[in-house]
Amino acid sequence: MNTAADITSWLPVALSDGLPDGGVMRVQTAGHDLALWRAHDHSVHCVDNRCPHRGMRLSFGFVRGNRLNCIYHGWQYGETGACAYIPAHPELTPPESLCVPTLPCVDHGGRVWITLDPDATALPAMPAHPGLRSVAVNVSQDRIQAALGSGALPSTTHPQRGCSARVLDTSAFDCRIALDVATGDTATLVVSIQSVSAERSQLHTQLTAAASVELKVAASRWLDALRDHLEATA
Amino acid sequence: MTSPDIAQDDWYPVAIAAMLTAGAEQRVTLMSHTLRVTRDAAGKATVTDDHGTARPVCEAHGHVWSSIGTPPHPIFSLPEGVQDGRRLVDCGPVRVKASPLRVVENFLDIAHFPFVHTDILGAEPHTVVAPYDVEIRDTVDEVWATKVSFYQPQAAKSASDGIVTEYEYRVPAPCATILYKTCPPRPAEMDVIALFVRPLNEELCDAYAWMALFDDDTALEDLIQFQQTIFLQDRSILENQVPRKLPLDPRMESPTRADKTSIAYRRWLKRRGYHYGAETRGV
Repeated sequence: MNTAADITSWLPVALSDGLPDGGVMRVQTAGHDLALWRAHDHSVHCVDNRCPHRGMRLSFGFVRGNRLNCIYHGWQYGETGACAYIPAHPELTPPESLCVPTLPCVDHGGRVWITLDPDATALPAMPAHPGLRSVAVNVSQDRIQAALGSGALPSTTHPQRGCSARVLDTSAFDCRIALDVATGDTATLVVSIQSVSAERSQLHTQLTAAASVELKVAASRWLDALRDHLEATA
Repeated sequence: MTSPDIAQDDWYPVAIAAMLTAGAEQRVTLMSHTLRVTRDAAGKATVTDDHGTARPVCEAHGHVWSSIGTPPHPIFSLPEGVQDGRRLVDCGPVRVKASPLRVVENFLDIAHFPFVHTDILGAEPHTVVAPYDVEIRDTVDEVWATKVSFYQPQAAKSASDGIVTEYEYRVPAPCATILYKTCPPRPAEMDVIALFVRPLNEELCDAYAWMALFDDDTALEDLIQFQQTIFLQDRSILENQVPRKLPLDPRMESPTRADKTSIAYRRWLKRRGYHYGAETRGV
């Protein structure tokens, strides 16, 4: 059975759409500096953001096949984090001890999740909606949760793109927000909050249904307003 | 901050000699001290600290050098710098948010050429680093790497095709390093490229590149541009190495055979007790 601690030990760190095959990105959370990457077999991986060779950040690296390559000397790390190839010495089999620490990482519900808890239980089923965008906010996760919980959400004004918003529900993983657009359209935003540090967070947002470009722009402008609102009231 | 220890008694570059004209005054930071560098009408360079006290000064290898301590030796010699027929080129300085020791170590490294200086100093699949010799020459207390060779698509501004370039590396002081490399127009000679680094603090420095080349044809701006391109590629690495300081505990990073020069450099720093810009935890 899942306990509350198990459930919330997973952190959403990217939108699935935001990390294409061969993509690498930096993730920071709770003092951890991490590199998130997707192999060409579509699997996602999370490693310590530091090549053990000369300390280079692996988030500057590149993916070939199913290996993450350090940009400095091209050392290749496989999906287990073990160093598989050193270009300066192709004949050398790297020792097993030569590896970069990994964290559990899954692509689930349209988001990429990691956990710092090696005993975390699997995430429950959740729908995978199309990603809208990830937004950096200079506010703590707790304050964002409190702000969304209060229901006091901003509105945007524009003849076509203006939105009013209300919270539909919140779960341990995300918050669903209904947007009523000036055109009469409606959309549902799914907002997942990632803590970056005590002062910074990221919102990973999805729309529950395929949307027109106009609707995506309206929702995106509303997210800008939400960020400004959160930062102004923090 | 680590105490400047023996590092404060070394010579560091504080100005490009040619840029310090008579009557000019430059203010620079050396190891968190502000220095005033001037040249009088007679051509004599003077360096004073923020208390107005005169600091040691010398001019060599295209630069004005000074110290916040008391250097026990004259500055290292570099005979090629005064050899007839060489063209002397000032390229620097470039500010780098990294330990000066990381900057020097990167300069000694060839295995990164195909990945960082792609299609200029290296290119896949030519990634192999052949065995080479490294020694700490006790008589001069310098690190030397010899018989270094590497395939390069465009080794120098004067090179048009790929060649196997031969190198020697010399580290005459912890923050100064010199590279001797195949000189495409003059096979019997070696081009000299030096990097002189001034620490502003342990994690910030200005790196001055200086060249003594046999190349009378390439335009000056092209020579400088070539060196700038290379160095800015290096800077994108140097500012993203963790930790910023150079670890002296061999367990903190995992070198391989290609890193023999860097291993010797770190060992030499440790042996000298040179800890400024070094991560000494675990040592």
